[in-house]
This record gives sequence, C-alpha cells and structure tokens, in this order.
Amino acid sequence: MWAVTDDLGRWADPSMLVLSSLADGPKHGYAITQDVAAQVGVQMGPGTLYGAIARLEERGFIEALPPEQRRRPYRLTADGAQELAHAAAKMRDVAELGLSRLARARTATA
Amino acid sequence: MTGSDLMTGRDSGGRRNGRDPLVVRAIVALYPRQWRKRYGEEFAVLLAQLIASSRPFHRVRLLANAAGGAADARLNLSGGRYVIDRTSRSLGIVACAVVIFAIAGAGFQKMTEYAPFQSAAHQHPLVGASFDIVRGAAVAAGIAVLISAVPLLWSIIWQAVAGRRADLLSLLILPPVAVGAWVGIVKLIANNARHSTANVAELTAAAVLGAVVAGFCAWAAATLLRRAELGERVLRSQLFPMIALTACMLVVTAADLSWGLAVRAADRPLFNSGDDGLLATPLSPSWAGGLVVLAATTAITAWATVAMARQRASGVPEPQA
Repeated sequence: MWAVTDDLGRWADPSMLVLSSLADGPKHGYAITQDVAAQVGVQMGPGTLYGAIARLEERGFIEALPPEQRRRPYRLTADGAQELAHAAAKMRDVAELGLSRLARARTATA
Repeated sequence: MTGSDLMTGRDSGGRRNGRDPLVVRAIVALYPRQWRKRYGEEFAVLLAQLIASSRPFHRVRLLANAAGGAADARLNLSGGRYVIDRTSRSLGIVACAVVIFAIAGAGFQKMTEYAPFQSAAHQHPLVGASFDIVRGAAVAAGIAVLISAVPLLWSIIWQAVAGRRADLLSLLILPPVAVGAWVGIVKLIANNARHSTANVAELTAAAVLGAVVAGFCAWAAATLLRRAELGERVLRSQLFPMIALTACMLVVTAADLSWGLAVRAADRPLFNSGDDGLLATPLSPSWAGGLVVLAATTAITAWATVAMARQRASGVPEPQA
C-alpha cells in the first residue's frame, strides 16, 4: 500500500484536502471548495479540484453518487479512508518531528 | 448582455439564462471530449457558481485555474497519471517476463549447440525447421524489445543526465550489472559442474538466481518508468512493439514445442538421453521445463499487452449510477 503523497506528486496536497473534506460525509464540488476554504483557509480552484477528483476516482479512493440536478456528490470509499488515515498519520509524524525540533532549537538558543 | 453577464450567466434583469455562461462553456470546451462527457456538466455548474460568487479580480484567477485544469486533462488524456502508472507497471511485468524468457531461450540455445542436436537438425527436416524458427523468432523478439526500449531509454537517459537524477542513473545501471553477475555465476557453475552426472542442484540454483535477477529487473524497470515521468504518448507508443513481441514469443514457444516433439518422434534415444539436457540433466525434463517457462512468460506478456490495450482504449471512468 503506498500513500497518496508518494503516488500523486504535485497533486498530493489537493487530493488530501478533498479526502479530508469527504471524511465527514458526501459533498459535491462546490461544497468541497467551501468546506476546504472554511476549515483550512485554502481556496481550491475548479481546475485543481477536478484534477484531484479525477485522480482520486480513478484510484478508487472516492466514488460518485447519483447526480442531484446537475451536481454530483462524491463520497470516500473504504480504500480512500484507509489511504487518508495512512497519509494523515505520516503528515502528523512529520509535523510533530518538525515542531519538536524547532522547540528544542529555540530552547537551546534562549 | 454585458461582460459581467457573460461571466455570471444572468441577463440584464439578473435572471438565469437557462444555459451556462459563455465563458463557462468556452472553458469547458477546452477540456478533452471524454473528460467533458464525464465531468463537464458538474464542472460547468461549479465554475458558474464560483464565478457568480467571486469578485472580478478573483474571477481571472478562477478562469486561469480552470484553463490550467484543461491543459492537465489534455496532457493526461484518458485517465491521467493513473493510466501512466498502470502502463508503467505493465511494462515492468513485461520486462520481468522478457528477462526470464531470454534466460530460457539462452538455455535452449546452449543445450542445442552440441553435436547430437546439430546432427538431428540436419537429418530431420522438422527438427531443423523448428530450430530455425525458434532462432528467427527470437531475433525478431529482440528487435521488438529494442524498438520498445530505445525511445524509453533515450527519454530516461536525457532526464537522468539533464536533471542530474542519481536515482534514475542507478536504476539504469544496476539491472545490467545484476544480469552480468548472474551470467558470471552461471558460467562458474557450468565450468565447475561434472558432466558425467546430472547437476540438478546447480541448475536449480541458476534458475532461482535467474528468477531473483528477473524480479529485480522488473522492479527497477517499473520504478524507473514511474520516476522518469514519461509522457503518456511515449508509453502509449509501446503498445505496437509489445504486440509484435507477444507474437514473436508465441512463435518461439510454439516452435520450441514443435522442436521437442520432432526430436521425440525422429530420434527417441536422443530425447530419452540422461545427460544431454542443461548442465548434464536428462533432456526431456530440461526441454519440458524450458517450454513451461517460455509458455508462462509468453502468457504473462500477452496478458500485460491486453491490459495495456484496454488502458489505451478506456477513457475517464464512467460514474457509478
């Protein structure tokens, strides 16, 4: 099992944002952009969003639900949830490492 | 209708036109047809919504982002990076199969270079014809591999040198080194083997080491193809050499079967000999083992070729109902 961040190259960050947004339930494109903007402060453009959606859907990490008028909601699959958990844990480890070392360096220079 | 109306899709009275704004339709038209078929409708709704709810300056960024998405979709036509990754994996599997096939073919060549086989080939037309077909098809298979590998290698070497990619260079160098080491070990085994008795243990060791080397080459090839970020067009162009390669491998396998059956029919003592096979093993199991390896690697190559053809034919996946 490889992580999204290893496999998607420059699309890793938008993909992580989409997976994270869908973690609490299905959303369509506009709802994803609004959720990501509200929660993380990142404005995802439509091209970026659908680039990530297409890649995630191809990998089976998300799946489309029946359309509601002209909008189509997406939901996380079991594989997608596993991938998100794996990649998020990896990101958390990196963040904890960086923060702890920064804190140590500050303490040493103080 | 004003410029702003063109952007928001509303007429002068602020009502919806019932169609997407012209600029939205123009942007969606930039995307490939297959992509539009799958995502066009929902993408147009999203783009129209985002344009309507954004300030003029941000609209420019939105449109630039949407147009950039079209360039990305066109560069990764019919499935994006995933198709490239799957194609790379298919090529990696084929690389593994070809290395094992070449090892089995070299074994056949080595086994048949001795006088009893040359004599059988001259005396019995079917044995001789089968042998010639094996060699001819093997040469053709080698040419197909070259046609397939040269553009890939050129692109990878260029990337490795221009980008100073040590990882690509090492992945390029290590497989030939591994194959060379294997050939050296097999030569050592052959030189030290007793020719009066069957060297089953040595043959097994050479086969196991060969399988390990082939597995390493396959991993290196798949990793190389993935890391080199080859364009989908380059990878797609691999399909026809792979079809030719599969056909050649099929011919080699069929001719090897024909050769063994012809030897069995024409020269039963030779076929039943106890030490004319590889490393002085009995001929019939040596031949049958080689045939099984050739058939298995041909089947794997055919399967990978069919998978690649399907990937090439498939578009962006249809949504679930």
